[in-house]
Amino acid sequence: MDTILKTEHLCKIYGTGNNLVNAVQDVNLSIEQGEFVTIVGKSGSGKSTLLHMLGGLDHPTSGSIFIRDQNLFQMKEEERAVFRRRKIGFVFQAFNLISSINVWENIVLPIGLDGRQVDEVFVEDIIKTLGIENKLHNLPNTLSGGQQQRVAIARAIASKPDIILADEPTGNLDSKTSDEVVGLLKMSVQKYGQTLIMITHDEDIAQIADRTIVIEDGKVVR
Amino acid sequence: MCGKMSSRTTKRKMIKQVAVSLLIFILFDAALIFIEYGNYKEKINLLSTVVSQEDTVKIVTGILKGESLDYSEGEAILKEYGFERNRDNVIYRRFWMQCGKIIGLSILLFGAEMILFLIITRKRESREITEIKQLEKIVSDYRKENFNDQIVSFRIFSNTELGRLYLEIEALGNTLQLLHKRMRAEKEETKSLVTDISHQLKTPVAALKTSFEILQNENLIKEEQMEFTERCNMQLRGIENLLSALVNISRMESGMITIRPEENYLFDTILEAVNRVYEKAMNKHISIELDADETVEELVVIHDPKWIAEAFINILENAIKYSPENTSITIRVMNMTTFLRMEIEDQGIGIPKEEYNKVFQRFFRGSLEEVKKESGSGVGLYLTREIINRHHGTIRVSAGKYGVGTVFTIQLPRA
Repeated sequence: MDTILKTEHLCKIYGTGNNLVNAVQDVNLSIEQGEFVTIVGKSGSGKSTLLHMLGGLDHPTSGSIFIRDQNLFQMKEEERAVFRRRKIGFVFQAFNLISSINVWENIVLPIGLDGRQVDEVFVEDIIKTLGIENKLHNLPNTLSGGQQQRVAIARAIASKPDIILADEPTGNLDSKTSDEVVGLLKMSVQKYGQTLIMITHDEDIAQIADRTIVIEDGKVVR
Repeated sequence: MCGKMSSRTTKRKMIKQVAVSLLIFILFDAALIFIEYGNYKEKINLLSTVVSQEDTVKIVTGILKGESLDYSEGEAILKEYGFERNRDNVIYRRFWMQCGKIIGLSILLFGAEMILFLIITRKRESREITEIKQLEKIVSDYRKENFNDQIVSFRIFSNTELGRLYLEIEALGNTLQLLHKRMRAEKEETKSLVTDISHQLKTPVAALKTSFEILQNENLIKEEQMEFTERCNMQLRGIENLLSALVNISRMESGMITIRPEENYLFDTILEAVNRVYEKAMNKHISIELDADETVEELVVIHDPKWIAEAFINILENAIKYSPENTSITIRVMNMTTFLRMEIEDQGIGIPKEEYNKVFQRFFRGSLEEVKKESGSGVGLYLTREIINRHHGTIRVSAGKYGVGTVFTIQLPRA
């Protein structure tokens, strides 16, 4: 009943004939609201493809994705774009911050693009939680990797999405900073009642999650 | 009250709109009439000019060439014939008729506009009312704890004020649903806890009962009596241990004890935990070393010292239990940006990688022989993780530096 995200027989096939690759094969997932789930797998196991489809960034070859009973790929293209903007926050391995604008502008940019008012109290609370209140006027390039990832997390949470999708958010960070970033993600989603789906190849980090999904060769093995 | 106020403001807005359009019509009419009057005057002046001269051809060609009119003389002539300026004449009447047409037409137009305006407002109002009724239904469903009503997507994703309102209401519903779910999960948790506890207690109590029954047998020789008395003792101690662990988790789970995080020196809490296990460590000649910056001594972390000490004690007791004699346990404390990071490393038997996730489960016992030999209830690490979670921290386990022993890494938010 409280399932926020569900996939049914999700498949993604690249190429044809001899070059055919089954990136994702018949994945059936069900993720509860408020859950922190990690998807663990080696590189090339299809976990990024899966996450991109969950976020509506990539089309499945077959199967469907439901977010709160709404079929993601039955929407019109522009509807899906608005849906993504409002319902899903992304955190990437490479941070994907805009280098020409400062930290604060990076954080509130998606809200502005959506034509919404910035809830300043809320955003300032996030910024304090993430410990970047002294970096707001800096340009992203002047920050360390860990700090940049904090900014990216703040940006993902600031637009109050239901689901945060994190694609190897600790891939570029040392182990202590990684622990901290995952701790922050967990703390934030707990605090703001969001659902977190995180991809990682680091099983040690996956322990922190409520549940771990292991994916091998495009199939969920446990 | 709110509705009344808003309807009053919309009414005021409507009146303003009507007044503005009326004003526009009046100004427009006045301008048209002014132009008409100019026309009329020019006609009269033309006639006056023409009547004052003998040679009409010359005067007319002169006028057409743009010569200025000289009508004062002609005016006087016309006056003599009884046609005074602005008096009763056909042209003047025509001018009035023209004015009448302008005013009549604009009244008609104004009326049409008003009707159109009314229809549009009515329509908008009725649409708004349906939307508001829809919102009302959703909100009242929320109150009845029915969260199944999903708001149709186009409503959420239309970039209008109402769309954003829908978005906010939906977000509110989601939060409510989450709270509701947490409440239900807590109830379920308590239920499964009761089942688990009764299950855990049954086995040792049954064993104790058997030992007692044997003891009651009068044919036992002294050695056997001694042996079974000792067994009873052991089983009782086991039950005692289990009970105190169970009391702890049940108090925690049922919310009888709430964690009260306050600003406290974390260092004091660590010391308290170490002191509590010190004797056990001494007995096995295990040293406990603290590796921390001097600043850590002064570090204030928001936590509940009683429960955090309990969490540390559980980890330390495990470390002592599963480490050989003459080894050491290292507690490292590091100050990070948001979290305080603690690593507790021992040189013990270690935990197999497959069990990393399971060690934190309730009533889980390791599969290694060394673990089975020791007494334990499988509650300690579960409780530890629970305590850390409620402080919004994290805990995870990994192998020691050189592949020996275990490291528990704890992160606690500093503020």
